[in-house]
Amino acid sequence: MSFSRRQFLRHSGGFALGAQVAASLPLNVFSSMAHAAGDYRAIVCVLLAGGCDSFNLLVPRSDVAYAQYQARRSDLALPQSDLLPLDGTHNGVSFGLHPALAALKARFNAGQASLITNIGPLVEPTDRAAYDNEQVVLPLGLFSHADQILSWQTATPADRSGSGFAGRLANALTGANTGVALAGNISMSGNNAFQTGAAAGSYSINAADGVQEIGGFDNALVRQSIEQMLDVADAPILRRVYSQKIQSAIDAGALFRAAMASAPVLNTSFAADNFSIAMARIAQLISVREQLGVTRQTFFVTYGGWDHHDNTLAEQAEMLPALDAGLGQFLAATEELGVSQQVTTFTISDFGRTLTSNGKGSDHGWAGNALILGGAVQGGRLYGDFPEQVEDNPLDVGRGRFLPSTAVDTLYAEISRWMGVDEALLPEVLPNWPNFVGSTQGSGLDGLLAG
Amino acid sequence: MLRSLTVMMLLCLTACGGGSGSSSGAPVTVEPAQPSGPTAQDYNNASLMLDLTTFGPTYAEVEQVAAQGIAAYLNDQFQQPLGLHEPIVRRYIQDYGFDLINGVPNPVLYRRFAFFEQALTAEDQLRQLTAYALTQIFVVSQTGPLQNNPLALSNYYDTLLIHSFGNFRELLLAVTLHPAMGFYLSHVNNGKTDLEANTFPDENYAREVMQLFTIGLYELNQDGSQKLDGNGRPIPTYDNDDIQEFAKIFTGLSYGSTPYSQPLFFGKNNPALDTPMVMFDDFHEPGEKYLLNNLVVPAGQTGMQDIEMAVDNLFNHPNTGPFIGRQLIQRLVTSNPSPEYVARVSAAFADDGSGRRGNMQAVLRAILTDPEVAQASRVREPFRRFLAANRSLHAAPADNVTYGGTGFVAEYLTGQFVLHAPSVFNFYSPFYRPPGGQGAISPEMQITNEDTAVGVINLMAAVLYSEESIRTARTLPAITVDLSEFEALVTDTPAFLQRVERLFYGGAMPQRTREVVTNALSQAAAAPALDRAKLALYLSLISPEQVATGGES
Repeated sequence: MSFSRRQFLRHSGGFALGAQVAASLPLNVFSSMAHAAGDYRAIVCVLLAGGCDSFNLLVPRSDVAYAQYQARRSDLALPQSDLLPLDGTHNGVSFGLHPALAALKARFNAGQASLITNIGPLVEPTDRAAYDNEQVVLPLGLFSHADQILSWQTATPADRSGSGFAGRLANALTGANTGVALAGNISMSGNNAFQTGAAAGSYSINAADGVQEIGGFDNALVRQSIEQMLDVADAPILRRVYSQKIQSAIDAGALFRAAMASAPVLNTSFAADNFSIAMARIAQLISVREQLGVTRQTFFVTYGGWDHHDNTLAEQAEMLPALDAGLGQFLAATEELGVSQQVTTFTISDFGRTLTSNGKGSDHGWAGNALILGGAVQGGRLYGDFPEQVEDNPLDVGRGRFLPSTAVDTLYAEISRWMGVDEALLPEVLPNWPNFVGSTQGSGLDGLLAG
Repeated sequence: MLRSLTVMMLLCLTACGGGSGSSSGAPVTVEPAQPSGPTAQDYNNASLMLDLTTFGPTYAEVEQVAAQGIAAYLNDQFQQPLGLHEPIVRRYIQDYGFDLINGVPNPVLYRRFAFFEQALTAEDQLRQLTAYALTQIFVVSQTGPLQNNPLALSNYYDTLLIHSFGNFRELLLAVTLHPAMGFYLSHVNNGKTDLEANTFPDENYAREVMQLFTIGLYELNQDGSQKLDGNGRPIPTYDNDDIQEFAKIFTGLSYGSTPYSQPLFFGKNNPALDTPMVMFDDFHEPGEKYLLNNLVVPAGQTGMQDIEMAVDNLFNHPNTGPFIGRQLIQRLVTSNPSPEYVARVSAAFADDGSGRRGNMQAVLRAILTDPEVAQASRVREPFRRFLAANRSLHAAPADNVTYGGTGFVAEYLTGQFVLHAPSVFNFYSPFYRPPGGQGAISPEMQITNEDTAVGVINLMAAVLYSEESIRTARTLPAITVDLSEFEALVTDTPAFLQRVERLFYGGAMPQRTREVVTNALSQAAAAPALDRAKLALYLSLISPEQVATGGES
């Protein structure tokens, strides 16, 4: 990849980048779908960094299942009467949400939100015997933050050097965006593995302050000097990589600032916590999608601090209200903007955690429960296969670490289809997807997203 | 916040002629061509060594090290007295109590003040910087009581300082027993297995002490490369069963101090956080435990005996030298050390020449005197760019209360503050390869994005142009930099550039920056000297050639 200046932007002024990227990609990654006027779709990935104990976000309420939950979780069990009841049953069991998730409960019961239960990274279909006997390729660094937080973002858990799911998704949708190329993939939380590998690049925006401008850049001498210093085409590689970040910031920054200046003021109000501020910024960016010239976008935001080896109940009670409020307000904002059917938000996290306690909290696990919400979500019911929370469940590989019953790839395949990727092209986006086609861990989410 | 910079700065560059804004410039001494004095190469060597071993050199230091030579400088650094942080925190507590300073709770600020004071003024710069590097390996982060009790993290930094020039084994034990680490990785008040309550030992510290603090995920050769099995695959150093065994080891510890002479007991939650944790054997997991490399901890030992054995087990693991050595090289010198360089440092870790393993002075000497130091290449760490600008430009407290404000603005713009990483995985991974980087590792690029890259540029502008901008809680005191030496030099462009090169470029300013700054100075010839000096410094501090050092082939 070369780093000639200004290669990133302004497709309207010349399709140089698009052509260059196109030449470097296999032709078949181009989706054949047509983009009708007003056609727009976006995904928002919320990374709950640290490994959220999501078996306390979604809890069985039926007496027998609750008693099993309570026995396994001991001091980490939420009181049965505190759970916010979800409508309906799943495999005959009724469920409730953590008491801090009132907005999500309302959205679930209104059919706009769901949870995918016991989902986690896998390389190929894996049952307990295959796990025990190492007959399959397993995700690298199981139970470890460093690898599992990547596996969820890349969906290539056997490969550390790979690109991210959103990066490959954006590449498969090349042609959808004609304006500010970097606007196709926007992060509120800096560089991330999720959007890595997007040929059109990605862009980090300061959630609180928006797009910053270089001090003194309005002075001709400073501007000219900086531009000369950034011309480092023949420099050592790390200097080129660094300079390119500045160059993107200069080039795309002006276009972002201009677009965002025309953003409508939303009636939906957001809370003042950092997560809500980030979700408000994403809503603002979506509101200027036409000015940015994008019809397919991925957004990434991290809400960290979920590694609760200690003080789980109090910490979750403190941190979940912001998640609930930020997600709820964001969905309301997309409704106000008339795009709620076109924006899907979901959570990922390093891993679920041990059902059993260490006396203060829980330790690193594997599968967990992922939230998903938006107008396209066929909610009001749970997806996946919620595991029976008993000690001899074969999916329990130790202390209540659950082997996933649904692969991350299955969720991402459904998201990819919804974004417009043809079925035949899914392996370009999800290299391990062919492993799962037709398997139990590769099914069960059909119809999760409609429209 | 910093928006105003764009309008306020550089106003005088071309518009205002004549009248220097300041007359406090120090007299310029151009080096006399004395036959016996240091050579230009001596200056450049000194400049590079100081670039690597201080928070930002002063010119007096460059001259001194150019005269004494690298070996004498390092010997001198190893002899410098400890510049501790906790006594400064206690001084603030004594002078200002636990009230608010302008609405901000003091305890949150004191350990920041102490850090700035020592980073900018302590004579033991190499030790301060080594401890700083260790904060990014043995990560503890400001959260909960570690934020509210200023003794916690100042004492933790001091613990790293004390062992920076000591032995890695004692460092590892001290970190393991430190209450800040006990809180952060939750092995304080970690009880033994209780089958009735269905609770098990906390696995947190057990996992991270192996993954991050000693041996890493895969078996390594002494040059840092991975060993491979018969199928060409890396060999894991441990599995989850090993973690559960180590988790048993780290049971029974609780806080070792208390604020009001209250009794100590297992489960205590109101600690003073400045004393090592102590063992309560009744709460320590009994029975045998299985460590790495087939080492069995016998039943019936005290908890502390178990911990000492586990620390020895990890300290003596063949991975620890290359795993820690490579990361120290990255923090101090270069992002992509050759396998040979790592192997030389591993050898020093294994044996300091007198048969001792883990001698930190030997490791640091090996790192800093290696032939590859001359080819050091890295993207500078954003927070250290801020510190270097402050130290090399003689930042001083405006009112004798604080150095460097509190760093909140710097933290906001760089995404970094010492002992405030987002997780135990630090601000970045030592293995991060930036997209488009042709496979090169650059941990610092992981936190360099469009937003932070511009933010750090503006932070440099703030240091030079706007004292107000460095204020944090708005009413807290600003820092003031002293640019008089540059103001005096700026009339002589080559001399000015040489000074910049020796302070900010490790003695080697590439041609592009030299041309751009020379040209800018010439275009702003009519501006006051201080404004010209600020412009030239600003460009020099944000040039990609300064930020991404070395790598020229």
